[in-house]
Amino acid sequence: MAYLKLFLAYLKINLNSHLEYRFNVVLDFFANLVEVSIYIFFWKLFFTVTQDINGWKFEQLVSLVAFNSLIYGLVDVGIGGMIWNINEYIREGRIDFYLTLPKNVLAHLLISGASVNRIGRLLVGLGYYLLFVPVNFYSFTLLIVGSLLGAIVFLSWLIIFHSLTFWLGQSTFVWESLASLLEFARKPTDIFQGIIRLTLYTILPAAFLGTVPVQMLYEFSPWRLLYFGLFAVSSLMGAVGIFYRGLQRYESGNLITVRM
Amino acid sequence: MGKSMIKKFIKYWTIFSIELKNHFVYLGDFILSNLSIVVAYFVSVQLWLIGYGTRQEMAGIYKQELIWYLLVVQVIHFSVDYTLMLNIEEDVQSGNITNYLNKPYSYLLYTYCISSGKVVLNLIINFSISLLMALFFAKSFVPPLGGVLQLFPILFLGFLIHFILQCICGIAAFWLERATVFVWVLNTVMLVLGGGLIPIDAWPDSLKPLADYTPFSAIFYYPAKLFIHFKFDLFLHFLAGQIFWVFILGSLLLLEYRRAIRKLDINGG
Repeated sequence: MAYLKLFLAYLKINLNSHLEYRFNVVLDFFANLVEVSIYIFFWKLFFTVTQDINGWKFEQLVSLVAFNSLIYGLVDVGIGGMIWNINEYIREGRIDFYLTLPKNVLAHLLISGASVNRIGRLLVGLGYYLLFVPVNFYSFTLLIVGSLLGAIVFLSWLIIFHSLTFWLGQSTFVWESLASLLEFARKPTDIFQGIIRLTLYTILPAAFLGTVPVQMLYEFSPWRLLYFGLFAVSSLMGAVGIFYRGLQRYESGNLITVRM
Repeated sequence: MGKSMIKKFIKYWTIFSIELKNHFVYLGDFILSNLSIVVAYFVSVQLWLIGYGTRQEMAGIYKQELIWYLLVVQVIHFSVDYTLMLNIEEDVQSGNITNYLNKPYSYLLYTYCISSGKVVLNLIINFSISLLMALFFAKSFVPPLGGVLQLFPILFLGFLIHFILQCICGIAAFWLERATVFVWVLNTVMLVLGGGLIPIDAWPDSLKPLADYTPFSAIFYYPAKLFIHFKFDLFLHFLAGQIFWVFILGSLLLLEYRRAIRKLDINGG
């Protein structure tokens, strides 16, 4: 509860600081709308040259794009700029501020990135989902469950990749891993075979950021849901463990800064 | 006139070569930062192999040819300098741009040289990495000699068009405060509408004019198409198209830049 209050407080600060630039928030929404629409346009075009992609139909691919946007959007609102920047905090020794406060370091670090102004991607994903998926109790429940579990998986692997900076000391690997994860997530996992496919369900879990929620939407399987849930929970536990193991190697940058 | 042109050329060439040398210092890190192309190229080839199914040809493009087409577009996509827009935005917002304006060079040309240093090295690394993958996937296809040679002028002009577009959006920060929102959008729009993911030959006839009326195909489609299906008259046609876009967008950029600088003066620098 205390962390929810902290999260809401950070959201409020973020909202107040962006009220001055309201036009940018609107611009951000339209930018996201254009980007997501362009991906859907791509799939539409692709289906003019081929009729089916290993059993995937156009509507399913739109759902995939929608889940991609919902999951990324949820994490983006939740931790904002931290998606790409935690490694910089680690590398430059800027975690001191969070270490000195009586809150959980990782939770506080993530929450401090809360950005309500980045809600555009989430709204666009939601819009496309409601537009292309028949609205009923099941699809609505899956929208919430699939997006939340997907967001937990994404957040967990973000933390894992960023935490590797404690050992590697450089950022390139983190960015490359995240870029690869997002690249694979944009395509249905069924187009891959063998070891690559296995990788996408385990150590680079792109399948959970789109493919798995869509599969559950069109063909429910309790085992798939169970695996999804267990994978999300164990990923989160693993991520927290790796972060704190890495934190033992943290070196302060001895920076003196003024936070206003 | 001639001498001063040569002097200017040497000045900007020096800036370009210093930037190139800077990147060589951290070559290992630089190579690692280009590895995304392996994933992106693999994913796009895999998708198209599924799309082709048992067919060997689609919209006049054979399967092997398409693998090389994707190679060229992915190399371009991963070599262009997408951070340029953000750097310009940062210069504008921090006021750092004033540090460039009192130096004996043009801010735009200086930025072009800095950006080109990165692009050239990206191009070499990305091409080397993905060439091995293309040979693995396509095996038999050998691109025509003209298709390889055309890359030099067509890529040069394509990168220039990309640079101008990035500058136009980056300098918009004088009015919009935040150009970041444009970055990913512009990249995606350029890649898709430029025929970077689906060759324009395979587009429905009703959508093909979209490629003619936007400059994006001059960045991605022109070099990739000529690489697999080189014809001299097509080369001249594409070259003329690129020169047209450089002229139009270049004029637009200069107009915007001059207005932006005037705005900076009003703010007192």
